[in-house]
Amino acid sequence: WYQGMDISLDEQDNDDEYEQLTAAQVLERLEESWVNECLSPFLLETQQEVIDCLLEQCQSVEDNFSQASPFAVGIHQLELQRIRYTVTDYVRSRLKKIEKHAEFALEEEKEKTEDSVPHLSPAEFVYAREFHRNTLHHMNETAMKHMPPPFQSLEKKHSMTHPNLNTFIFFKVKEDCNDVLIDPQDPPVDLSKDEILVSKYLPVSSLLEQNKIKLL
Amino acid sequence: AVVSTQSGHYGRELMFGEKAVALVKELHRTPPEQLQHLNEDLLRQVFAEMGALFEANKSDIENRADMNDNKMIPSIHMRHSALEHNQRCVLAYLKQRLNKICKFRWDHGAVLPEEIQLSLQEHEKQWFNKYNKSLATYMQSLGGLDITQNTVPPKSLKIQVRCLQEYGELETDSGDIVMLTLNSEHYLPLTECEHLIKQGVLQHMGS
Repeated sequence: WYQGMDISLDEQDNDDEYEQLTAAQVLERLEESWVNECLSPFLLETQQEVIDCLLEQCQSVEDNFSQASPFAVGIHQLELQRIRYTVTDYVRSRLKKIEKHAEFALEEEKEKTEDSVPHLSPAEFVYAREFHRNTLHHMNETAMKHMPPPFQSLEKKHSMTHPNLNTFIFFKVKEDCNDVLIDPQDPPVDLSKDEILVSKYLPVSSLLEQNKIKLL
Repeated sequence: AVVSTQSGHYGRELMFGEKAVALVKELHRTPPEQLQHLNEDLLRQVFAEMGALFEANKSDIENRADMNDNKMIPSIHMRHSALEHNQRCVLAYLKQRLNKICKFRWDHGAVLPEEIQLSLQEHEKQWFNKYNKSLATYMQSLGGLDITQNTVPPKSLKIQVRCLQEYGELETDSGDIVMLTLNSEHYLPLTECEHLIKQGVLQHMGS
């Protein structure tokens, strides 16, 4: 069903042009984002548009079931369940990261500039903030207010947990990249398309966000 | 200054920080699916120890002969370390309990089994309710998608299940009524069964 449909998903790339993607491309983007998100140590840019769009499409396909033959309905339903599973797992993976390092996520967002893509969707931002506040309030009520005055609050450097951005990841190169600094002690290298490499996450994280590599 | 005159089961006076570590150990030894009551008694003892340590430090600082009297500095440092250690253990204990409660939400749903509810202290119950609300708000933003379901990739639309308990009637989305009696087998849509499998009412048979 999705081969025949064109969805207008407004995609903004660096040159401020709007791209129309087919449903198949949106699905591919979701699957790649899902794999990337599950394998990366912390949150990647939010793909909220992709999932909102897909969920809407799933709903409208379901609404049209009465017009299709029962056999086709069965196949479509399984496909829809698979898409829903992918979206759900993607969202879950992000929430788990937020819960583990809520304060870090909020700090990271604060430091972003106007034109960079946020890592947290608006709903995720609210979730992170509520989770953090909730936990802090609990700590205060149950423990900290019973402690001597200097210990009734925590400095950020003590309370904030950090995800390990230097874990190693495997990735495949999608387009040629020149002069990439993987290791500060080595000179920059050129990455060619279809190469499979392993490195620490942090040096290549910007390549991942620019969609030039994908995690394996 | 003697801080703790209570000899623990070690038969000697406890060192500073030992009670706090006992809290952490107690939690560490509990199986993942279980949660004991919050050990409020031990927590109170740790707070009392912290209070006494702090007062001792305060009095040492105030009773210095002059600004250059450094005799008490090693003691002050030691007590301060003990204070920090206690704070850290207590917060770790509480946070780990929250982590477990969090996981219970995902495993058991918005209403926790009674035995777990009984183990939660009042503040933890409030935390859980707020967490539940946050999660519900977030799921609303996705058009009501229940993200606590769909935990395994769907292989087929319907699955063969066996009923492990006397459950009674189950009404499916299409309006059919299925009688779930002990050991009965059914071929049901995955979406209907998933939460029952998680609760242990149904068992997925083969693949």
